Amino acid sequence: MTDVPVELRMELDGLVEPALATHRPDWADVVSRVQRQRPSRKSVFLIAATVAAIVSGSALALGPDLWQAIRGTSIDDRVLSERDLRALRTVSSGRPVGISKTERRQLRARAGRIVSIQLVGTRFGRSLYLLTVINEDGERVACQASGPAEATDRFGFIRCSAPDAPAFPSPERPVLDQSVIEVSREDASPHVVRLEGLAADAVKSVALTEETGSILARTPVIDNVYVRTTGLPRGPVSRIVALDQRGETIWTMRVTRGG
Amino acid sequence: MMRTDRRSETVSTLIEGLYRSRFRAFLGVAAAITRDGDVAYDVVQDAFAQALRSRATFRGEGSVEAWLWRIVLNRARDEIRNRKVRPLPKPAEPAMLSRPTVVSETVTERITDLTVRRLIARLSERQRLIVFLRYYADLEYAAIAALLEISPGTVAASLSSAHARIRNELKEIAR
Repeated sequence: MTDVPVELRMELDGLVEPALATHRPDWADVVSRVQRQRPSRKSVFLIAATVAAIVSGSALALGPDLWQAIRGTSIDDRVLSERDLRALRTVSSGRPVGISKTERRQLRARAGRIVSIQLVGTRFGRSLYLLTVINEDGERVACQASGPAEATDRFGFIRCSAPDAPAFPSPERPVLDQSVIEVSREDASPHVVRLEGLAADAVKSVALTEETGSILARTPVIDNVYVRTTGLPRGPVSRIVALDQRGETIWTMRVTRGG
Repeated sequence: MMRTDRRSETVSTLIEGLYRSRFRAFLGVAAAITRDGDVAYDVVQDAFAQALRSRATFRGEGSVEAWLWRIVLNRARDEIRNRKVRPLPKPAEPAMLSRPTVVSETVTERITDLTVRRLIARLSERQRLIVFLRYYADLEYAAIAALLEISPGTVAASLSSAHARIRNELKEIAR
């Protein structure tokens, strides 16, 4: 191809090099997406949780200071169809997983007595789980966990909701976000280092926006899981939003200092 | 019905074959358009899934590859349109240099990645598409012309104009 100047070729290569290095062809994934694009599903898991507000999470510090998203707001002034409501209350993906005695002991120390663990999905090498535990007050609470898929320490991150928090998944809480947000002493604005979480069937993508609502980065929800670690904005982020298949916002969470 | 089933099966085989042999080309173009590797991957995967699901609707007008390119390009452009704003990165300070790039036969100069990306971003959408389809997909002028519904002559002229513009602006920066 002699019509492309040599000085441009290197830069054009550099433009897409990260994408080509990161992603490999996966025909099985294409076929599974054909199934997902179909309107009807053959099997559905209903996951009921009985928890309410998010409590402060586990150690995620990546910088001298740590931002925690503490509030989420569903867009409740929309008229939702029965089908929409069903999709907001459903997480179709997932299967129960077993844990070793050591893992059970470690999880008990961090969260409580394990009742059940469900692997919801794995994306870009990270597995995300939903757990039901009995906390030290004897209350049944829902927790989320994640970690490298191929690691001895599968549950590096774990966070539990308060017993009276809205259930996940539900119209009030269609997203369980566990993004890693950092703030440094030099710059007090929150920066998202990893965008990650679980979402109900109705959520098709999750995005980061600035104060004006402009989308800074977006990632699709695949098998009820969203993970993104590259191409995240270097500038401050105002909100994490959940979008449905029409691209409309159905849930929003302000990124603020937690505690 | 049997003839339709057989044709559908043939199209399905062609789609899979093109996916396996041309994945990098499709991903490269999608990544260049969306400026996001993860989104580009999903664009390609979803586009092929869409083609597979609707293969019975392929009427044989043009090649299967051209049909696939249309789906990929439409999805990539939809991604751009669905974003409200995607600000370009701020230009680097002139002193912040990257890897060496040959500007001409006699001058070697360091140009920032961001400078060339900004120059590419300043091209018209059609010029950018033509550059990407020519470079990443190695499509002939006639194939690009059919995809974008323009003449091969317009493709050649657009490509030449885009290259000249970028080359000239790079020379200006190098001075």
